[in-house]
Amino acid sequence: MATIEQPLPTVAKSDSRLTFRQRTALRHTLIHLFLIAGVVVMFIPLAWTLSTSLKSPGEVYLFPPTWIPKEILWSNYAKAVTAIPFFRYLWNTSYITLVSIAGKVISITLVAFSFARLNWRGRDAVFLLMLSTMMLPPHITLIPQFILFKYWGWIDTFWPLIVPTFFGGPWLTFLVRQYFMTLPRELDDAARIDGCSSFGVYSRIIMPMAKPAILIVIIYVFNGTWNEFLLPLIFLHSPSNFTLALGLRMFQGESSTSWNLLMAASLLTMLPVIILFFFSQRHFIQGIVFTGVKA
Amino acid sequence: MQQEKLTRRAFLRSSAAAAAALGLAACAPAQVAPSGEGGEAPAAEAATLIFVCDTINEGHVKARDKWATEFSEANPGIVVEHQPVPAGPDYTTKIQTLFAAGTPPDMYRYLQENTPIITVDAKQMHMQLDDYIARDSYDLTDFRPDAVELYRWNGKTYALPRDYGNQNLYYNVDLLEAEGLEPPPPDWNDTDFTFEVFLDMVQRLTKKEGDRTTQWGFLVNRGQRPYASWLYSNGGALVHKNEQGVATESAMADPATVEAMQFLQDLMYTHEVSPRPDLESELGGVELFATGRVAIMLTNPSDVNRFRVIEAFTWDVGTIPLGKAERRGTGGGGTGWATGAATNHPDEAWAFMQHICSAQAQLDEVAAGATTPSRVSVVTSDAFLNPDLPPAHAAAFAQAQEFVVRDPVNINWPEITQRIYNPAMDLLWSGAADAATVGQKIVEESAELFAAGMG
Repeated sequence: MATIEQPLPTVAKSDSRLTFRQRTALRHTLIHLFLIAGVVVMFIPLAWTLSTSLKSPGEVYLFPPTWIPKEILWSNYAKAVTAIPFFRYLWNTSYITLVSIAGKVISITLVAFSFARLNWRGRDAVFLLMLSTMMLPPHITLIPQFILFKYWGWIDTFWPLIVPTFFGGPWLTFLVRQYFMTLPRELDDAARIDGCSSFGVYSRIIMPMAKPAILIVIIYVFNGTWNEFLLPLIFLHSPSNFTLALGLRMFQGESSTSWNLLMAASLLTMLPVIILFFFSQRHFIQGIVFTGVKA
Repeated sequence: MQQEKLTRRAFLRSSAAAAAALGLAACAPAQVAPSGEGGEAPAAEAATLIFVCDTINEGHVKARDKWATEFSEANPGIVVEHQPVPAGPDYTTKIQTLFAAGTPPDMYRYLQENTPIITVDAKQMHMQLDDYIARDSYDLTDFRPDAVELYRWNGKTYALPRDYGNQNLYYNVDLLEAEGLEPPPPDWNDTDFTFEVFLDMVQRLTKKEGDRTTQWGFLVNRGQRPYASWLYSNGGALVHKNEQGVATESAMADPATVEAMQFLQDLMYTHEVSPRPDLESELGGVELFATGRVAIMLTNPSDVNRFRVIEAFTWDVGTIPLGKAERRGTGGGGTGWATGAATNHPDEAWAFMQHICSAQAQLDEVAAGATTPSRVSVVTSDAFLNPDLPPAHAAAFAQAQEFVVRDPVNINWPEITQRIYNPAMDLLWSGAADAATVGQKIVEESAELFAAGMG
């Protein structure tokens, strides 16, 4: 009792140590400071892009460099979208991207369903064969593809960029197949007992449960198609058919680059990707966890 | 809940929408397909020339659009379709794909450093121009004779010269004046501006604060044509040639070559007047000169546009120093206009080639900058030597054309460069090996490829 009634030692102890709440607050503060520092570091390239996009051509080369332009030139954005037919390229890119997403989602889920949920002779061998095509660098097939598409009259059209997306792709097919494998088999059995066909199982049972996997496919295909450079370079000839990735390169000359205009156009090009990330970051991070790799 | 969100009907609807989108995709390109002008004669009657060129800058793209338009208007039976392609390796990739697929352009900018003329001849890639030149008595006398020779092999002409580039020293006038230094002379026949004078100059231009260099005297340009210019000016060479001009073996172990290479390495590691490659990568290459942290650099005339836009930056050009050679030499050669041999419209292509090789067309390119015209009348014109715009001594570009040493001619030269010269030279630039070791390594490793590529 006497010990309990003597507050002094206790007070002294609490003076030297932080309470649990204080410790938590301190830990959170430190974590947030660390994260804020990380955000600042990660934001520097974007801030530099923004800063450069508002400078005059001469100020781009000033040393020491200026973060805030002497004269803020919003007109660079107007120049950037008129120096190249930006909105035409935006339309072309959006068009190709959306159709590619549709193509990939349909084909990949169908093929993955077949590999994951149906039993057919040679399935595993075909699956291995499909995986082995990942070893083939895309550049190897470029010229044969070009000759084929030329024969079909597809050069300088969007066909070479969108039709192949309706034939899936090994990496994402593998990914979705793995996801489908995790779904309980009993669901298929129950559906079949109720009279569902294989396509019914795919469309009414598996697909509704595959939303996370489909979203990951959409994010991957969106990023890949939006930023694709090589295929548009090879298959598209007319400037009116160019995509944004191709159009942005027009600001880069043989020995000089219109950095301010390039940065302005790049920021505008990045916007849809950034917006997509903000709206789907939960799934994006889920995707990283799910696949174990970064996009 | 999730199951209810995507019903079979909804899936079928989505699929139908996707199919419709695909159908629409088929329509989109059809809208941009070449067609006759609204309601006029069918397009099939017109010969369409595909004109592919890399984007040197926006001005050049506009100049080519202008050529295509004015030529099409002047020749009702011919439509020129200008297809700009991003510059650099992307352009090479595109051109190589077009040739490999058997669909070369009717007109394109031919880069002889990527596809040696001996390869063009061996594979019959380009349309021969000699019959046309003879038929029309086409006047070649205004072109630099060496520039025309670049595109001739085995007595056949495979292209006409568009430009004829070279390497010159670019220097920051203010930094040299602050040090009380005489600038590099613009006269390529000068004999006083030697390697030794240059070394003293760049040493005086190099400033340090403690161990940190705040200003470098010189930026070593590690590109092949730039470094080769030092070899040529010291009496060395990249390769040995036979009487036909074919590169037979590497000359990188020759004493004069080794001495010049060692001079360049010493600028970085012994004299410490040039940033090392790692620092250069970190701080920027040409930007170091553009921002006044490097006083002198060696590059070609196409960089002029880059520096002209920088405010409060006074710069000029002069000749490369003279080493032990009797006369200077500069890597270069420029580019040409060529027609793919598989063209369906050779006559029309020749007519268009004459149009874009005219003095007026070269003046159009001069207005866009970043070029050294191949026509003497244009490279010495007021338009090119414009005294109102820097550099003040642009005449050095014109005179340097007389000192150009053409790129080595060997079928395997691009491969030899990429597989052997470049990796070995990286050892020199990184300080991992001295010039003699690097030179010997190149000679030994390249011998087989040189022998196999002599045609």
